[in-house]
Amino acid sequence: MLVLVLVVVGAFAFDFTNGFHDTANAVATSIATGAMKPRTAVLMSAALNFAGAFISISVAATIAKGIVNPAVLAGGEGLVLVLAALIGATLWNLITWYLTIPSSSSHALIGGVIGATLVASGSGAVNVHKLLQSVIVPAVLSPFICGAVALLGTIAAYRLIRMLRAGETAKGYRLGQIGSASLMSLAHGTNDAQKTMGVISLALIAHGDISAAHFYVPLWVKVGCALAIALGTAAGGWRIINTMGNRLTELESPQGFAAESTSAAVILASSYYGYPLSTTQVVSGGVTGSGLGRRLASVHWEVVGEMVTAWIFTIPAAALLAAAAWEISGVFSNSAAGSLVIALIATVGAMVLFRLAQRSNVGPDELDRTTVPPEGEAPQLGHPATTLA
Amino acid sequence: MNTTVATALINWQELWKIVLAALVGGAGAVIVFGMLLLGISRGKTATKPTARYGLYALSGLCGFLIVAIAASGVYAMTQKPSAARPKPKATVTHLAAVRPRAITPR
Repeated sequence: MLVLVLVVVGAFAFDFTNGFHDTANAVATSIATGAMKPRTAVLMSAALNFAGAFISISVAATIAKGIVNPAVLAGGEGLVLVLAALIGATLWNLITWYLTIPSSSSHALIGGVIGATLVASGSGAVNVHKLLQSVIVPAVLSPFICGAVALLGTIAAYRLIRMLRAGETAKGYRLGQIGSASLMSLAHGTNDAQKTMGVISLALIAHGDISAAHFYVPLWVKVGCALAIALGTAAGGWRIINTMGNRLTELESPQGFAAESTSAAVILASSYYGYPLSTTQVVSGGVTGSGLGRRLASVHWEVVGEMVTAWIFTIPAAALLAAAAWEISGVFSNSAAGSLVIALIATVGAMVLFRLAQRSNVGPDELDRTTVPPEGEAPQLGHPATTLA
Repeated sequence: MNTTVATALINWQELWKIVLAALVGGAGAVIVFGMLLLGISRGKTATKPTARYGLYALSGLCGFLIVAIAASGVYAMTQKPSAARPKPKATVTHLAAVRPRAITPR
């Protein structure tokens, strides 16, 4: 029972970090261009993430579907493996948040599962081809597709804008950004809350609380996951919002609209065809593409380099953290005591990261651009002192 | 042999559909929205009533298209492939039936 409780708490914690990590995907561009006040933007996004979690009634009841042998996730030790995976994913989310780098929560979870599975069952339990087909190849292609389309959209937008007055353009596209940010938030809630619902449902089945033959997702799981992701979104993730909205490139409202619309289209189309993508990577590609689309605009390639490095390391790093958690739990024979120990260690690690982040805090007031007139250029907010070397 | 591997890893038909959706929903939405703003802006300054109404009608049509694109997006959210197939149940049944032999004993 204790292990189940820890898995559920760990899943909610992961969902919470998923929320604040991915807030930037929906609202960073809207905040950067002054379309919305920061707090208004994140609260709107939180509400839509909550609503989005209930839109689709289908639930992915497996983690890393087809990538790992589902047998390893069954039974008591399977619960511990899931807990180790969640710890690996959550800690990596927090590390990249501390380093102000947008990274994929989905890939972190997959990495966590792979890492724990590899040390628990060996490489035979991991389907590398499926990993490449379902995760790696889409992850590599999607930012380029989104970036290319956003580039085209931005070029087209600025051709049209030449016929408009500057104030009209910015005001109009700022309104459009509210719509595109809303759609992105809804899409994120639909996609990401379900992962955690799946994790918890799996744990309940393994524990015998839900019958596999009559599978359903309890209401408290749906509400809990929706609430966790909404609260995480509302917490703000200001550090990553700053990176996505300000540090990648200097954004104007047509670019923000182009980036968000394209990202939403790519993510929704891919989900429809069964390819769950990383919203972070897609939006980053869209922002970069729209940055290139405006004449004289500059993309800060060193920031792009930091992000790509984080993306490459996400699956291996989360895997390593999860593997470490599994090994530590193994010292206690993967018992309830072992689960409690790794949960405590993870909690201490999270608190240390939160504490360190306070030294270079970014807040909503610093990001507010709504007072800047549409025709004006706002000074760029410098990034916090801590960053990758 | 390389071509065979590439074909297996990438479903080109679905990739093309995703790119098309991105072009329509992404770049297309940006262009249509720009035309909406242009129609409103030019309509305000048009001297002839017919020109003004025509431009406002163009803006209205563009606005309708934008709403249609957004509605398609919301519809796509409710029509994910996993909603149609019974895969979650089948997979869950398998999970319950299999013992955790795969985990290496210490």
